[in-house]
Amino acid sequence: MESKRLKITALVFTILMSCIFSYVYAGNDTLRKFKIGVIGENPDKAITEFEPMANYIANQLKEFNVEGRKVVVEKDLNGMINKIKNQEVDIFFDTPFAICKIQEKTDMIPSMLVWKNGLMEYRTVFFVRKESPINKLTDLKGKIIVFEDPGSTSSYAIPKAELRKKGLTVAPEETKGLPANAVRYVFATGEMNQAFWVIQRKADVGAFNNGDWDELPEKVRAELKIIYETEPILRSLAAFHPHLPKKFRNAVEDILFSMDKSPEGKEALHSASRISKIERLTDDDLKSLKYVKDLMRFID
Amino acid sequence: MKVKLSISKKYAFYVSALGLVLLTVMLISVGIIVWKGADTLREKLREGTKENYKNNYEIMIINRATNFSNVIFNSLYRLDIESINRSIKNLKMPIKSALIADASGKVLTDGTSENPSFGTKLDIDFSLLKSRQSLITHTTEGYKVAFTIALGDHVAGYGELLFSDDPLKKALQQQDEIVFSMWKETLRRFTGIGLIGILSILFFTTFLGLLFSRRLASPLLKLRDATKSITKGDLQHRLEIQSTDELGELADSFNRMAEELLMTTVSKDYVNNIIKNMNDSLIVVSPDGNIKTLNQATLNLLGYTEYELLNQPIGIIFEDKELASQWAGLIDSMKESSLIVRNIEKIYLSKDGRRIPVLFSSSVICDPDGKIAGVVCVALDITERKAAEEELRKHREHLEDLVKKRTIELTKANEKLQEEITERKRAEETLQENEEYLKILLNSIRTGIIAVDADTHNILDINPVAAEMIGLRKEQILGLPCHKFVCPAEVGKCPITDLKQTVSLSERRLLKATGEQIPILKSVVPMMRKNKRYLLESFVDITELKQADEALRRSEEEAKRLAQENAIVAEIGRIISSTLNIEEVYERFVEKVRELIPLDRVSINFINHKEQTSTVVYSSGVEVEGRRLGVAIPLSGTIAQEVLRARSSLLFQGKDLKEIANRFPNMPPLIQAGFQSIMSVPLISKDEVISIFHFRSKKPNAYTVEHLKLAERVGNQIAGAIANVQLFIERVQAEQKAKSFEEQLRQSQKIEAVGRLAGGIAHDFNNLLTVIKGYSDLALIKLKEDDPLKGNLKEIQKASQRATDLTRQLLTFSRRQILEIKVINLNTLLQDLDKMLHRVIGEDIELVYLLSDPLGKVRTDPSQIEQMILNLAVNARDAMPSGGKLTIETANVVLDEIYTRTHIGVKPGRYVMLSVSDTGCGMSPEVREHLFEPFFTTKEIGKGTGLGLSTVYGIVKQSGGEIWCYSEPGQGTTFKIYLPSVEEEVTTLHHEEDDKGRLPQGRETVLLVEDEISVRGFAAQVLRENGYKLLEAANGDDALRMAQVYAGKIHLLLTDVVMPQMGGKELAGRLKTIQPNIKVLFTSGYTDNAIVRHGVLEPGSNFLQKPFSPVTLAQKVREVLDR
Repeated sequence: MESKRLKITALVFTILMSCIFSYVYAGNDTLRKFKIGVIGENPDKAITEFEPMANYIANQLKEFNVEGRKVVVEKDLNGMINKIKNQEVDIFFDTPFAICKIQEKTDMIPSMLVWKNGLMEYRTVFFVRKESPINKLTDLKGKIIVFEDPGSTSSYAIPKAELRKKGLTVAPEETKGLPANAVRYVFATGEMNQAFWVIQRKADVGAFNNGDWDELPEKVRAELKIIYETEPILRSLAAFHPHLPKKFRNAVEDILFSMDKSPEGKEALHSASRISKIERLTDDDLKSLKYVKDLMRFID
Repeated sequence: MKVKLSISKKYAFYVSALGLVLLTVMLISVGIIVWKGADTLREKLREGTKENYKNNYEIMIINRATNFSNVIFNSLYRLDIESINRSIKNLKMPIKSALIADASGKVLTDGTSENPSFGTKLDIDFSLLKSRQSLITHTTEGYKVAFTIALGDHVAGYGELLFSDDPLKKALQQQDEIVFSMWKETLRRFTGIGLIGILSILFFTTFLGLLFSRRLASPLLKLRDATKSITKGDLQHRLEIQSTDELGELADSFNRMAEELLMTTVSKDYVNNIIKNMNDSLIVVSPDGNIKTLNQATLNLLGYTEYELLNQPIGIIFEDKELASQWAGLIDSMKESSLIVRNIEKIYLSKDGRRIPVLFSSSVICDPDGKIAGVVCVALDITERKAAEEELRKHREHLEDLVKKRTIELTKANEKLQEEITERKRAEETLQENEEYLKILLNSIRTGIIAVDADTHNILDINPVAAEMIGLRKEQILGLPCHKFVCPAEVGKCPITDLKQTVSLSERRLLKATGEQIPILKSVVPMMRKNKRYLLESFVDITELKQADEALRRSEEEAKRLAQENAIVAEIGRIISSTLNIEEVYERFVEKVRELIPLDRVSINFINHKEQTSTVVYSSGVEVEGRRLGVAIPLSGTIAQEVLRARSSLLFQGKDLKEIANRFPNMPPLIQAGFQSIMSVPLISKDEVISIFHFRSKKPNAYTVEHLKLAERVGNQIAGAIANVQLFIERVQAEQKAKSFEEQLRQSQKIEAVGRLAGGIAHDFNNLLTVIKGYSDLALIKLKEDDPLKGNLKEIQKASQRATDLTRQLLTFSRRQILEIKVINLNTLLQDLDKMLHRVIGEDIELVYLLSDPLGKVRTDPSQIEQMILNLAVNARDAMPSGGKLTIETANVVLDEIYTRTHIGVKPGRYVMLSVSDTGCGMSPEVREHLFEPFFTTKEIGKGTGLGLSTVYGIVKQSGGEIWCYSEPGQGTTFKIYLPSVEEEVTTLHHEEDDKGRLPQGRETVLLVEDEISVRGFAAQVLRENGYKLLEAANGDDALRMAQVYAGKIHLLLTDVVMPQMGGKELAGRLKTIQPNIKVLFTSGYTDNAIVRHGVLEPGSNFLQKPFSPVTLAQKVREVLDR
């Protein structure tokens, strides 16, 4: 009996090992594509932008039997989550908020800081009219704040979360039955519009990132003042699929970190939403990521 | 010249001219009417176009404004400024600009990203606008339309659009072109018609003129011809004019008059026949004394033609010229006394001057009024009669003279005969005495005397002295011909041919019996003795005298020659001492020599012993092919070679020439030139033949040994002098060159010294400016827009920027500026700079390019070269306040060793030349001397920094080039810049993308080492605020200690170059042992190229020039870290 059990066990083990070996062998020999995932309203445009980067990386991964590339575009986060779950994405580029959200759902590993347009981080600024008595966020009770649009991170998600984090009730302006001290919000569909809405008293306060603030015409900026700045928020991150082999991840990381050193790599980066360079995340970045995660608690 | 026109032609001309004038007046009138019409049409069309345009345009404007208002109402109502901006950007011409304001009139946006109009009040009458939809005003910029942006009663705001006038201008232009083309076409047609009209009128009027003239002038012409016939005596001539007008009556009257005249007039032919057949001369003289009529007999008598005498004064035919002047009185007296002159003798003068005696009669003829109408003169030729009378008179007088003469002769002959008889007796007595005396005398004097038969020239007698002189005895001599001894060369040429003749003392030759000839002084006296002719020849031996004379003559000639030579040598010495111009020395030297030695060509050839050539340095006279001035002739096969070999003069002439022609292959040109005498003299100085003096003459045997010696003597004199002059000139040239070099060196050293000083000052300035500029930039970033201090800070920022620019210019001048070297083509750079140059120099100055294509490439900093050209253009503009021409030229040049020897610092090679020339006021030598010195300016205070040209100098020098300035007051200025030409490919210039001045960030660790605490503080603040971790150190030692204890990685060392104790380079080297991968960025305010590029730092080192702004620092740090 003992011998029979042993035989059965040996057989099972043999079959299992064969399967494993077959899998590994077959896996090593099967040609695969390198897949980049991005979220975008216009898939064609996103593919055009990210294809040079995908090509550049794929061409250097021959030793991993990588042949070809694919840019996977989804219009929203949920779609991307599904793709990731189906292992259709190797690396995903997006804002810290999206990355954090996906990390919650898919165990994606954020490991790279993405510089965009020469900047790695930004802050959201809250501004009011120059002569406004509002000087801090808590003065906003019962006031109207103008955001850019519901899809904006720096000009909607972050300021809304920051206000909520301060204990303020924030709700759309048209919401009925709001308490008097609630901060009501409207959308102006543009940073410039936000500034004018505040100047023209259509709203009491506006919020967008410090870059947008710098780009306001000087005369317009002169009629406004900043009352609050959030902590720095990383502009963009990249996350690996958790199932990718470490060796493969390291190889992709090495390629990405050195892309800005060669003209072709630099061009490919710039094509992909004007990425300047990609670095490994540091402790400070992780702190910033923590701040984002903290804010996310206050985002719907 | 007065043109004689017939009456018919006059008629034709007047009628044609009148027609032409009328046509011209008509054409001008029509032309003016057409022109005025066209002008009026043009004005009307313009006005119409304007009006039409205005109406249509206003309608269009209103429509566009209304449409635009509708388009943006929604956006304005929603305060969607970005949408409004997009709408404004989509506006097309002719709309030039737009302003959108809110309901209060405050401008919200003008559609631009800078939005400078924001916050201003819209300048419109809102009350007026309330009653209308829109308001249109016309301004210099175009049509402005203000409109309300509203929906129903709800006013969202106001707008203002500016419409361009260009469509109107274009329409007017088109209108003008149409009118002009119409006018041109009309003018063309009008001109054609006018020409045809003119030709037609000319033809028609000429025809009319001829027609009229035939009708009017024909009877008159007939009348004229009839009058001429009657005048000529044809009294039968009658007029045939069939006309009932005044002309017909005139013809009838004329015919009647001719009939009456025929009846009452004696035939002129009859009278003429009488006069013609008269044998006597007949002349009719007018009261004023002129010949009116004469007959053929008169003409025959006097030899005149009728034409020659008619209307001539009567006096012309009289010998007595007073008769003419007395003619008037004579006439009067004849009138009073009715005198008739009869048969008085007068003398006529014929044409050939013969005197013709005539028997003259005259009578007065009077007209019916009793006035004297003329005098009829009749003359009978009495020449033959008068001649006979004269012959008779002469015969009689001759006979009387003969009788008188014969009587006197006979008387005189008797008296003479008596005197001769007495005299002969006395002579015979004294002759006897004299003969005795003479014999003694002849034998005693030391003069040879010979008596010679004058006919046979045989010696008849001889005195002892003469015989002694001949060397024979008297007996041997007598009877021999005289010419055997005396004047043997003059046989048959005896000077005495007449016994009255005497030959005074003359020098002759005496042939002695020995055959020797001796000079004698001889005189010959002829004499008659006993009817025989003798010649008495006396002579003395003058051999000794002649020898003495010859000796004296030779002595005098030698003295004269020597004096002349000495004078010339002295003159040559004076010439040499009076000038250093060797050409002038040659010229005047030869001029003097020419006085002594005949020549057709003279040349002085300089001998180059090293190259074995002879160069013609001077020549005069006949040109010889291949021997022209400056030609270097190989010595081989020349006479010069022979002169050099022999070191002595050579003289070839006559037969010698043919003989030596084969010896000297270079002789033929001389022989071909026709020279037959050749003399060459070496000019030796310090025992070396320095030149050869060649004399050539076309005369055979032109030169004597004396000439040769003279040429040698003069040559020896001049040789040393020429050598001295050449040495002196070489020394002066060497001194001048040395002086020029010294001056260039001094100038170069001065500018170098000033440059070092400027560079040193700039270093300290840069440190200070880094702090001032940096902190003001930082403060400006942090201050709010409305902060009152912001204005002050901006002023500080501007001032520090100006100071930075000045420092940069100083560094450029001192060649311590870091250059961004690129390979460029100056022509391309000038093309890119063209617009800016035009802006800089203004409209009054013409800019001309003379660009060489293809042009070599140069390695330099293009921005610096642009700056340089602009600086030169600005200076040129300021030098031409009333306008002028600025010429920019490029060319490929090669500067050879000759050029570089005279221009200090220039290396021989290929260069690209850039020349900037103006036609301005130019510069004085004093200004030129200080031209490139910093802070030297001739401009008014406040108009120039004095750094423009010093910057140019620095840029050129730092680019390895040279700059030269050529300028004279009033003659303009030219700067020539030479940059070394390179063969490399042109660097592609591209501009970095503007990142809008954002500060790049980072999180790396930076070790900042700076001994200037304020600079260090500023840099640390900038980097810290942009995310970097900072380690700060004041010197190299502190930095090393810090690096050793710091546990983490230091990514970047940012260090000053020049620091006490340990410099930046040493620090970087030692830090690499601790942090092998550390990147280094050097910074310094002292940017000496030699230190940065070739000394302290390695080529390719990262370097940041002070002063730097926060943006520059952040960008450079990021750049180095990302590299």
